[in-house]
Amino acid sequence: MKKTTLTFSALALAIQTISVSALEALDDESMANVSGQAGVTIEMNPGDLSIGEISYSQDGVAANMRDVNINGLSGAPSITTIDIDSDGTLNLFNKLGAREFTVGGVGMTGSTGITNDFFSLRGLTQSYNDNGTVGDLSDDTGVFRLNMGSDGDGNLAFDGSQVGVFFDGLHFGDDGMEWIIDDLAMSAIINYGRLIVNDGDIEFDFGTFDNRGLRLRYEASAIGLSNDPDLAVGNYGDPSSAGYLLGDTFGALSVDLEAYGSLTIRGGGADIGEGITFIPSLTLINDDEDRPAFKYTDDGYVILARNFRGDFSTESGLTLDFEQDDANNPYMALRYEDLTFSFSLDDLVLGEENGSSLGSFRGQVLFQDGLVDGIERKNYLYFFPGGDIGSADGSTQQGITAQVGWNIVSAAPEEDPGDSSLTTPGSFAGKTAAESNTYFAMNDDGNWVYFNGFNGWGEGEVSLDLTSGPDLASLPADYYANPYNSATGQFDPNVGYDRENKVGTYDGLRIDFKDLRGEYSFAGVTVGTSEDEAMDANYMGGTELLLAMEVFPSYSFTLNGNLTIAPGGQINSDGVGGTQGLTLNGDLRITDGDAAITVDEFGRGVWLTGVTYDLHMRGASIDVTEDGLTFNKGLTWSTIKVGSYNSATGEIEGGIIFGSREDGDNLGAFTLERLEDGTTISVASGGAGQVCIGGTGSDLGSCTGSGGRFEDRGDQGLTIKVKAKFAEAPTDVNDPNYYRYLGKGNRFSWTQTNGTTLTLDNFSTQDGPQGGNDYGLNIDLALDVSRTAVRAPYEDNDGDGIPDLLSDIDSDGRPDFVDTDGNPILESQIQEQGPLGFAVFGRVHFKQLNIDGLKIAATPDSTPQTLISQIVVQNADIQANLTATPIR
Amino acid sequence: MIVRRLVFSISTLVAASSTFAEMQAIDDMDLSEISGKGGVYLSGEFAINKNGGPLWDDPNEVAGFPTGSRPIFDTAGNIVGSEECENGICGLRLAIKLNENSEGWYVLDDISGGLSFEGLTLQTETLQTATNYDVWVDGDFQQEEVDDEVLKIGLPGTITFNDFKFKFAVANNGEFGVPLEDGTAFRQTEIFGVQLDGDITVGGNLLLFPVD
Repeated sequence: MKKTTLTFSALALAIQTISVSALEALDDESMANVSGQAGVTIEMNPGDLSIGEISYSQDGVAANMRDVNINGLSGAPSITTIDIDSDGTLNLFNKLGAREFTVGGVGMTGSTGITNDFFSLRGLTQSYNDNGTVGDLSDDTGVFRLNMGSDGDGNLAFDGSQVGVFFDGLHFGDDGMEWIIDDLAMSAIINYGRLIVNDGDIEFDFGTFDNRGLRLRYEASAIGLSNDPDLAVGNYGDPSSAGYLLGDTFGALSVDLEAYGSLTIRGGGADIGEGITFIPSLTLINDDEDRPAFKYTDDGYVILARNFRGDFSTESGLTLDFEQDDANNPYMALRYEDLTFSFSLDDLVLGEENGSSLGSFRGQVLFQDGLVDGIERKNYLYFFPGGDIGSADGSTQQGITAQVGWNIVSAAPEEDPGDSSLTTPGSFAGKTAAESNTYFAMNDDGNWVYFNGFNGWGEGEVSLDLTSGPDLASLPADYYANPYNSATGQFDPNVGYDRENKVGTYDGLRIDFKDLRGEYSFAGVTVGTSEDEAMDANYMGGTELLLAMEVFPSYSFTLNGNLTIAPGGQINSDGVGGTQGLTLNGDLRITDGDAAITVDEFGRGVWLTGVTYDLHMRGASIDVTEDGLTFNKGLTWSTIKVGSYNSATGEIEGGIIFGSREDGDNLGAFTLERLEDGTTISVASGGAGQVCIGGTGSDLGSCTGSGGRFEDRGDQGLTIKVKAKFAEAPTDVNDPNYYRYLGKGNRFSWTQTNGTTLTLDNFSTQDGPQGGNDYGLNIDLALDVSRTAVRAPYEDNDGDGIPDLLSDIDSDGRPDFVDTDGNPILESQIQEQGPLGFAVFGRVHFKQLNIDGLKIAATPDSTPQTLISQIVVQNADIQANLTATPIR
Repeated sequence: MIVRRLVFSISTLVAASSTFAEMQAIDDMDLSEISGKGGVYLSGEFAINKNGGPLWDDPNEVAGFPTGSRPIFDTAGNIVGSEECENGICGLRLAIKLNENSEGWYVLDDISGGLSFEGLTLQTETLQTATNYDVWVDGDFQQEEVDDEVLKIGLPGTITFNDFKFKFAVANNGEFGVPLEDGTAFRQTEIFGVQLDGDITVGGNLLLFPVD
């Protein structure tokens, strides 16, 4: 192949080179036809095109595409029509031909010649197709249309321009493995676009809410992986048939959005020298009831979002620079001093496409560079070509290594002007509380609950590689090894499938974390019937509920290890073709952790300090089913070690801290070892619905008749179900789970500050005397925002020592129920006028829980004595049905 | 320091159960002060096996015995009989064997029912003084200066018990209805039972804090 090097200073030109092709001479007859028409038609068939390298450079560092080959399939020419309208607008309409292409490497080259690749690329595109809808451009593919004229105000207008492409297959390669997107259609249409040249920058104006400039579509029928680098591109069969070549896949994805706003581009990046600054002020929107904004399909069930709106804005802009590290490795640097992303979503459906909605959601993330205790907290993404894992023979090392830093902020809580002991969400100077907080909010039957006042920062290294795992028929001996040794209380650095000096890999996209340090906290929960009301409400508890999903309300940590995501879940709902969904394997270790079990907005609460959390997952999965979104933990074994007992000094280092994590009282250290097989966590729509508090009955009459209080918490809300299956290691070597469970168990030990150690040994769930372990230990949480019963406080104004009953409108001899403003109301008025609270209906239920014993020892190192030999709990269904309101 | 927190997590309950709990009677002035402070105000109920439990009340789970009754097995695992639960609702069963060599189990059986309330409050605050009940000075217990973060549970005044009951028993096996390995039939002797229904008045606060 003849080596050709093309170097461009603008990426746009590089893209256009694909259209560069051989001109064909027209005969006189054709010429005559052309001259008789309004424009010129050019038919191009490039044949085979090879380019050695296309590169774009800044400050001596280049991004490049090497070994580009484009094969113009026979009989598929590109046809370009060029015309100029009477108003002087240039119309260029290019019906693209089908093309097969390969790119040997997409990577970067540093000033000293160090070259690394992100990935290689193969693909096959289809020729022009309007999909039978002449008037609807949004589904056109294989098309490039440029309409360029004057808007009459001295700016260029691009109205009616479009680009659309359909890939029969698109393969991203990494050291022989490929990430494959099947039947990918992408299109962008400019309904309204202006290019405005300002002093020092250029601005793209894409209109307003009423005149939306852009329509963007993305649709992929399946996304899968292959370890065959020679797999023919394009025709893999039907994803829902047995012979589908990609087998198990991640499922199908489609995105359909409009956009408006502006995008300003300025020369020069974050530092001196070359670079580009982007300043987006864009809104992505889809408020069409008939077209979902996002739709993910997994075996016939969906995650679907309608009525979406997302706003991006930044004052300082996003800067893009090409740079080199100290060892002259090139990388691409994306930095942003400030960035706000907010979204709203009116309709989220999990499960059946026409199923009930999970409700409405809102969220906002405020990124802002900061300086805390003399340490800069910056927002950046540095992308280095080349991942963590190379090819088997070591000849290539494709992949992506990213150094990331983030700082997410919220304004500090402010004292409630009406009551100095309460706080409300704070605000930055010149901004409202709604503009000054990072939050995630959910609407439940017209009431909003805000997980509010989020702050978080972190930095570290994350690398992405496509990897292959061991053959399931001959797994390595340490595949199920547990690095934690209960007898010594230590982690063995030489044991485990993914210890530092021996990297075990799995099939899939491997995300590797190296010293990723971070911390975050929520200020609390606020509720209201509107955003204004929720932002004006007092902070209260509720973030503790996230613990059910193993998310701590406040956490600081250092993360190492990896998580590998493979196509195909564990549940094949439709039973046809391969399984869709996500399979997860991983080995993760969190060290130097400080986690809050419960914490207030000032950092006081119950803390777990000096935490080490070692977690191993085999065959975990995420699936969408008729029940909603389900996370199956597969075979998971983990050790949480909170603080430790120093035998030499007799002191506890770290531990459970009551109060402030720096100087609170210490309750001692604990270790929790878990062995779970098939534990699931699922999220579904619908809260508690109708509940009877203090009585029994499913309707108002029967509930009040039994002495209860009836509450209707509406159809909406959120249900979280945890079904934990604690397993017991068998002693029989022939048991199929013998090696899977070996060296693991469920154990809890607590060492007090004086060294006394209590151990709860070997707890496991069981389906009753007849055995089996299917039911598990279930924690069901139904979350709602609803009005609730709050009674007036006792008062003793006359000082006689007996509480005064200032009013007793229901004559029950107790303080009256009150409304939001503290005025007395009757029990029957609570549903309409009671204070708004955060309602949690929690159930813990299991058939049988076995605990092999409770032991006590003077120190963790001394021989334990048995306090209780065995505990059996059967037939448990424990409920807590509570509604929380801030004390007023 | 006043905080507004819910303490839901099991872990916290585990931690809290190990702390020293001290019940303090407080006068009404204190009560009125507390009511004016921040924190979280809970209304609702706690209930155990309100509508039965998953092991003996699910007709789909074990065939061969009626819902709301407990099966009795022979050594081969066959159901040879059943015991009907009160009102057709089976409660929670907690069985404890203290000594490894003992054959006896202490049992809290058929625990069911609930309690409901309006106004259980939770807040943490810093305690400045505490009463030392070991030292008697000038006709009263000694007041000592302390600086402890305490979890203050404000009791709701009135708690309504809704058919709350349990039985204390002894049995020869932890699992109900399961004979011993040597073939001895399952046996359980009920010692006494407790049932609570109606309102009780509980005022004041419960303070939880760690001690050395």
